Amino acid sequence: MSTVTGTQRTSPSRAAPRTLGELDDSAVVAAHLGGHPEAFEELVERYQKRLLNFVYRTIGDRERAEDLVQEVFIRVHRHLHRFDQSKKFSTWIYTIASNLAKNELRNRSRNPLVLFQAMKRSWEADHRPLQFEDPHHRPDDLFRKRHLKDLVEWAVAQLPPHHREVFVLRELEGKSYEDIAEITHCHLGTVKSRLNRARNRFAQIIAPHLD
Amino acid sequence: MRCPDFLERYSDFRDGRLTDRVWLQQMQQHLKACPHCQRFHAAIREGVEVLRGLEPAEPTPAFRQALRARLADGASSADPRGALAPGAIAVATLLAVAATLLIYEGLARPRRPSLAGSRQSLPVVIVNPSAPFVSFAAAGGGQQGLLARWASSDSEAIAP
Repeated sequence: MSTVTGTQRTSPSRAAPRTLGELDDSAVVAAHLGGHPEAFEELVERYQKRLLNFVYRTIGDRERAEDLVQEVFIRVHRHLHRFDQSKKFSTWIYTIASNLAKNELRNRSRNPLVLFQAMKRSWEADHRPLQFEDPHHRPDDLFRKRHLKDLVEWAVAQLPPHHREVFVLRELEGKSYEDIAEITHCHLGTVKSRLNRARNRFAQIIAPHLD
Repeated sequence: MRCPDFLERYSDFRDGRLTDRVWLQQMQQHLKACPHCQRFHAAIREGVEVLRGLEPAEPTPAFRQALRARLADGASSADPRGALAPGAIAVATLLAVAATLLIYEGLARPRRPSLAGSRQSLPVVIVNPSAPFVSFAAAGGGQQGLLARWASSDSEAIAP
């Protein structure tokens, strides 16, 4: 693991070199800008999975989500020198990911062929081979569990895109309302109302299946 | 409290943002008493729990490699701090061509005489134009011949 000295913003008084993994995001960004190219790898390591899941839940296409997350990192790499380091890096990178996901949904709605290909891919995923599950569970439980998982995924996919985005950022990513407002370029009131509507719709879809 | 009031404040309630103690108490009381809102609350809680428990998507093994390759491509062609982007090159070329043409135009155009000291007579404006003047004497064949040709011609150019 590589070490960094002199560029940390967190504890400038500490002379001992620290590994990149010990630094917070802003210090890793500073390290990258200060001439440590390996710091960028650390940012990729920290965010690739989170962003992939966020984009995947937002656009519903796993393969395309991976392309978009790559694009996020390319943009981050290209524009990192312009990033305002007084702000949160995670909010900035999620904003880039959110913009790309929105563009993707917009393009998809304009291009029926892309929409069809995405639908076909998710339909094919239903035909995956059956896997053996934990034999300690009763078959009823297993069925209910699998059914619930599919249902919940489907319920999220049914939300309107701008409601879904806010819902995923809050419930899966655990972002604060203020961060969501910044990421989605919305007012706090809009975030609240979208989240409320998303939760209402989500509950309406799954409640009948929980009884 | 009625159900619509509960639902309206539900997000603040769920996310711990309801700071007003009176509202908070009323929400809790309503939740205890109303089976409809209990069902709603349970659906959100259980649904989100299942959602969080879903297996997260993992980047494929090729993800990093592809990213590195794309970054390497980008670094050689689109580094904003280094080489110019293709669009910028095209714009710069167009501007250079335009500037060259302007300079050439300025140099190649013949010099006009300065306005001071060179007065040119302006054409006389004829308010009521009549038939163009034809000098009979200038035409060949004499006056009689011309009159004869005029009489026989149906040309409107010399008709009065």
